[in-house]
Amino acid sequence: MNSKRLLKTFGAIKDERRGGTPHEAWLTRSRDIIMMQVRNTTDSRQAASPLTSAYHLFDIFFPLAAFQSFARAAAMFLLVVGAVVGGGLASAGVYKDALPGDRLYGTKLAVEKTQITLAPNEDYRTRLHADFADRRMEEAAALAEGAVARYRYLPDVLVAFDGEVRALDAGIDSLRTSDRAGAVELAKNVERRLAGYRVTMRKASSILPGSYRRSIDESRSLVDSVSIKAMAVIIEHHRAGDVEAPQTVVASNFEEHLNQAEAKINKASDREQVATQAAKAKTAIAEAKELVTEGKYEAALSKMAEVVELTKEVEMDEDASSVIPGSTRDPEAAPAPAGEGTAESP
Amino acid sequence: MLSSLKEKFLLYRIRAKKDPDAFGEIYDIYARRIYRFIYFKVRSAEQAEDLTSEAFLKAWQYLKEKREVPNLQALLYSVARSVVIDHYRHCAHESGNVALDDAVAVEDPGLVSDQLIRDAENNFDAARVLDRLRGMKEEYREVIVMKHFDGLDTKEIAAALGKTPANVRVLLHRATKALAAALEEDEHELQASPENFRRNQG
Repeated sequence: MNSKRLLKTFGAIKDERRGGTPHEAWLTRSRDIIMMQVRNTTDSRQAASPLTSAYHLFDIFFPLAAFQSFARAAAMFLLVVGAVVGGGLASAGVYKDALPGDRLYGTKLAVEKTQITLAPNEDYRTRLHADFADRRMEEAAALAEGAVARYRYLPDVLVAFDGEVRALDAGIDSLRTSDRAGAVELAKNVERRLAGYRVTMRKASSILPGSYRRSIDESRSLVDSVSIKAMAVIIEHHRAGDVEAPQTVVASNFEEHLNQAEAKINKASDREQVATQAAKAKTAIAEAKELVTEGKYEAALSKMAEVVELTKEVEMDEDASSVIPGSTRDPEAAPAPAGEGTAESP
Repeated sequence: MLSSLKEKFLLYRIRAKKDPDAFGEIYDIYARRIYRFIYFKVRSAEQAEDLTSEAFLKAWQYLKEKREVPNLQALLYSVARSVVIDHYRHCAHESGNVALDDAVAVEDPGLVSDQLIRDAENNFDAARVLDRLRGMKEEYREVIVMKHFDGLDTKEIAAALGKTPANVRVLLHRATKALAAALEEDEHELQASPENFRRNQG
């Protein structure tokens, strides 16, 4: 039976009883019975108060979902108007440059939270987290290079930074299953940013007293683990033949990491305490480089994780052995965290 | 199709004004459609009548309890579906062996079989279509009934069934194709062996 004949048959039977058309008499009878029961269970004298009526009117014609959409649009509008018109705060970058302890720093964080809340999709939200991670790192660097009195804000800034990095980590996980092309793009982007963060943190670490260096070390560990995950995603896509993850990108990422590690190890002193670990790190770096050359990227990644750990140990040994008792580098002699004068850092 | 604004106004009359006549209007608009929806899921017209009344009373209870109703039509179809499921659960409990899938049985197979023999070609087609329609997957049957019997458009069906319009379009296409294929199969069988076909249909 062709579809024309099928449709004709539908048309012919839809008004018949066997086509599911009820008896008119039953409809009327059923209506009477239902309405009787409806009336029996309704007390119209208990009609809603004007306030309740208004609530129902609002609830039915303007339900919660619609209200949320409206509120979101209104908030976005107010944010834009506020940012553009309200003293040109956004355009002048006044709050953007605010540091912890500044009056406008709260505004900066509030605007960021609003942006995250209003983000239209996961991809956009992840990009925001990446931008905010940059900001936290810039703030941490500015605090490290600024007045000693402001060091006390550093742990909180680094905790916020860790939060943004974890959000990036979650973003990679989420895209790995939902948008494979997006995942490799994000992984590359994250990897680039993390390389920058490592340099900044190393620099800040060299300035700060020991008590604050520990906060930085925690953030560095997180950055290293997310970085290895981003590399794993890039390798995975390279193996799958993704043109966005060519061999050159994979190899250059390894090269960058291993060269950075090598430079750190080479700078390490000859002190016995440091030398043993440095030798181990050098061997691991050489092995990792060889694995990269052979195209054994998964094994190279595993070796690179070992290099990261060994480099960290060398740096810690180096720091410990170079502490001069009584100096500001000595964690034990570090200035108290709160309200301790305004002397500039070295 | 009840306009969204009118639907909301009827809901407002029920909620705020406690006006039973508003529910009467809802019954007038949807009773035929809900009856047909149920009719194709049960064994007889009498069962469809009982379950339609039950569905409307349940819908009234729901509305009276002031729960959120984003879409009245979707609510009525959903209540109708749950009433049918309850009905088959009850049947299964009573007889101990009636599965939910039995909702697709023919109203009166003997009568349909007689019609196959007696009636003219159009009537013969109609009986075959109805027979096959009742034997289809539930979601296929629902979209065909809503589209071709109730005259709802894709958007309205999507809202009623809680699916996207694209999903409904795909379902409709597959359902029509499946129905046409099943009828084609019947025709081949009929041409090959009319006696066997009648026996099988009976």
